[in-house]
Order: sequence, then C-alpha cells, then structure tokens
Amino acid sequence: MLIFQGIKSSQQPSAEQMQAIMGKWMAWIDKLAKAGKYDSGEPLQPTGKIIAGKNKTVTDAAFAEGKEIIGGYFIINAADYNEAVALCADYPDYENGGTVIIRQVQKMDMPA
Amino acid sequence: MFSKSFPITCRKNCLDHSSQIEQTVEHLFRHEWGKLVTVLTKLFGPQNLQMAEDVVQDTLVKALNTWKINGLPQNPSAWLFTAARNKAIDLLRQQKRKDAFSKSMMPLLQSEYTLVPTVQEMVNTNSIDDDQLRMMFVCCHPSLSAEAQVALILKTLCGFSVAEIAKAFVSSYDTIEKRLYRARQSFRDNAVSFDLPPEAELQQRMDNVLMAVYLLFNEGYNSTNHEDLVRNDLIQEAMRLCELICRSSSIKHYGSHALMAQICFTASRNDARLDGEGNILLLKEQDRTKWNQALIAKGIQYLGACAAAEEINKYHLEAVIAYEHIAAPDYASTNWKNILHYYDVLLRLNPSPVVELNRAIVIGELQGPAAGIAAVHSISQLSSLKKYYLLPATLGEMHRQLKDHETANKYFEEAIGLTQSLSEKKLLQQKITGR
Repeated sequence: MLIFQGIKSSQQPSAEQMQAIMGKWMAWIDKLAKAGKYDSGEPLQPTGKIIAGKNKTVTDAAFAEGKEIIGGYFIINAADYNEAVALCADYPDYENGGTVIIRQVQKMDMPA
Repeated sequence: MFSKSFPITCRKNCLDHSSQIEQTVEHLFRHEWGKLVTVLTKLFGPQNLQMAEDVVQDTLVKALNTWKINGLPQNPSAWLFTAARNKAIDLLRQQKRKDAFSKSMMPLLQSEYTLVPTVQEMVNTNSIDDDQLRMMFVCCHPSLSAEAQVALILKTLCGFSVAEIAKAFVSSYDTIEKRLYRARQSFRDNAVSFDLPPEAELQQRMDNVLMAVYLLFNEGYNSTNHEDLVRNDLIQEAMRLCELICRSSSIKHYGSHALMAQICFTASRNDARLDGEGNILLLKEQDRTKWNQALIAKGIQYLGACAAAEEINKYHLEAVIAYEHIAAPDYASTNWKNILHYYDVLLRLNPSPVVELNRAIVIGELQGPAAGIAAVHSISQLSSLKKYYLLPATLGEMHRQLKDHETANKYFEEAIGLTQSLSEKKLLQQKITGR
C-alpha cells in the first residue's frame, strides 16, 4: 500500500500547474498499470473524525497542517520493498512537499 | 479544443491509460476556471469577484486531489460545476452581511427556500457563451485602464495566475497584483453589474472588448522576447475569446468576425516569421509555403461572415489589409494600390499616427523610398511616435534603400535603443553591418 501524505498548501497552484500535476499522475498510474503493478486506489477527504479513549470520545479531525493530510492511497503489486520503492520514483508530488509511505499489507495464510 | 470527447474512466477494467492522457483536454483547468468564475460572478455580482475566484480555486484544488488518484471523471465539467455549486451554497449560508449581494439577488439568496434553486439556476453551462461574453463586458468596464482590462480577462476568463500574467506582460508580480486589486475595488465602488450595458453604450463597450482581445493577441504575436510557450498561449486565448464573441447570439457584432479574420491571417504567418536560428524574417523574406493554410481558410470564412455588415469599421479594414498580404503569391505581386486605398479609408475612420506610419510604408513601396520618407515626415502627430521603435526602423530602412547609409545607421541605432526585443535588436544590428 502506498499512502500519500502532505502537500504544502501555502502556495495556491495555478490552473496550468494543476493541469501539469494531473498529467504527471496520469502518466505515473499509466506506467504502473501497463506493467501490471497497479491494483486500486482512492482519494481521501481532508476531513474526518477521531474516536479515542475509554469514553470513545469523538472529535472532528482538523487536518490543518498540510503535512498531516493523507490525500489518498494506492494498492500496488510489488515483490518486495525494493521494488515498491523503485515504483515510487515517478510519484509526482515530491517537489510539492508530498511524501509516500510504503506499507506491506499483511496477508494471512488461511488453512484450506 | 473542446470538441475532443472526454475520456471514460475505467482504470481497473481497461488498462490502456495512454488514451486517457492523450485525451485530457488541453488547458482543461484554465478553461473550466474561466467558465466557473463567470457563472459565480453572475451569482455573487462583480463586486464579489474575489469570492468567486476563491470558490473556483478551492473547487479546482479539490478536483485535482480527487482526480489525480481516481482519474478524470466522465464529464469533468459537470463534476466541477456540481462541486462549485455545493461550495457556493455553503458560503451563501454562512454569509451574514446583508449588503454583500446586489439588491435583486438578496432576497433569493437569503431565503433557504430559494437559495438552492437559485444557485442551480445560475451555476450551470446552459448559457455559458453568453455568460462569458457578459464577463468580458464586466472586465472591460470603462472605469478600468486597457492594461487592467486585459489582465483581468486573463485572470478571470483564461485562468492565468498573477505570476503567469506578470510573465506575459514582462511585468512584476506586485504590479499585476495591485492592478487586479484596484480593478476589483473599482467593481465595488462603481457597483458594476453583470448585465449587458444599455443599448446606447453597447457599441462602445463592444469596442473595448474587441480592443482587449486584440491587445491580448498582439502581446502574444509581437513580443518576441517571450518564450514560445507563453506567446502561443496568449495567441490561442485571444482566438478562443474572439471565437466565443463571434458565436454569441445576444448582440450583433460584425467587428468580432473581422477581428477574428485579421487574427487568423496574422497568426497564419507565425511559423514563417523566424529562421532556424531564431532570426526574424520580414514579410519579404518569408517562405510563403510555411504559412498555415488552415488558419488562412478560417480567416477567409470569418471575413465572408462580416461582409453582411452595414457599416465598415476599422476591424474590417485591418482584416482586408491582412488579407491582401496573404492573397499575394509572392512579395513582388502584393497589391499595394489596394492596400493604400484601405489605409486611406482607415485613416478617415480612425486617424492614428501608427496607421499613418503604416500608410507611409505602403507609399514607399508604391512610389519609392523618397516619397515614403516624405510621407513619414508629414505624419500629423509625429512626436507621439517618438518612443515607437518602428518609426526610426522604418526611416532607417528607407534611407538604406536610398543608399544613405550614414543616416540609415543613425536611425537603426535609435531603433535598437527603443525596442526590448532581442531578436528585433539583432535584426536592426544586421542592417547596420549590412549582412
């Protein structure tokens, strides 16, 4: 699983810059898909709820800091972390302050 | 540009994404920006232009964050309009100031019963061409300077950022920012409305709009100190807006068809203007087979469309002058007599020292350089062209043809000092050294 985190929000991108970013994402996903590495992905809303504690206190999650925002995720097929890291070379948002977190999905072998 | 069909998103099922990338409409974000700012300005009123722009910026950022992971929706425009409507409704519900909107809109926007239907009614693409034309009228309000009008058109209808406008005008970020700020302020001070101007003012305002489109085109076509990318963007935007005016059915405006014809004829020479090393090629030296035939055909079509006009205006004359140049198979067979006649009529309609200078060039072609020089010196307000580099450049060329190189070079030096364009400077320098 690739988790995309934090895009700096101080500078508003222009329409043309947004179009360029969009183009890079589509090219990246295209490359992953053509290589049979892309499985699925979803964007996430910037708002949410956090439930915590014994009292199950619900609070609005205020993801005010650009760095904390998780913008979305992909599920990709990779043999190991090395391959997964290599597949992230074309992630388009490094220069915009974005981060990729790679986590392996734990698969449980079930007895037949 | 918009005739291309929108891609269908089916990432998991069909793996051919390259078709999706190719089909992403060029400048989609910019042009949707223009439509959204237009309809939201209609809803909020021009006095709340900033509010409209903020809603659009938020909407596009949201779209980017969703689309980059999910791919383009089947109908990106409909997606954006829905998102913008929802943001507008939220914002209107929060708006407590009673005087924020125009008097006619206030009751509709303040009652919860009418709020949503009103927003639905106004924020859509049903009359988007006419709406964008009205937006152009707003941007070309007479309280604004010509520079402010063009900057505002680029910001609101073309989706350029302040930085991109500054680059297009070789100006600073702060200058453009201030210009736009004052323009928005002027909309509030003058209570500018989104309606078409009254009949009596309509023609004058239409002229302002066409002039702004022409300036936009000129900035793109003539600023040789820009990168090609910026120049082509400006040319394309000018053509897009001009076509939009031609398409709109709400007012008669033959001038727009003539302007479009002129723009097409001029732009058709774009690829023939420079040689392989980026040197400027004069009309005389251009390879006419490199002229863009598709644009010429389009220009002729628009020229035909304005033949029905009852009165001739300066745009017609400029268009037919451009056509005469295009129609000549080579430079030697240019019909200078016709062109001189058109300039004579143009001068009567629209006296201007720049037109007189162009007419003097034609006289030089017809009657020789000495007659040309005499015509230049008899320009009525010659002193107003003092800072215009084409004046000494023209005189230099005429004196060069008379083999008076000393005088010619003095004029070329003067012209070099007046132009910012590096390629123009180079061209003039070559004339001095006599390449």
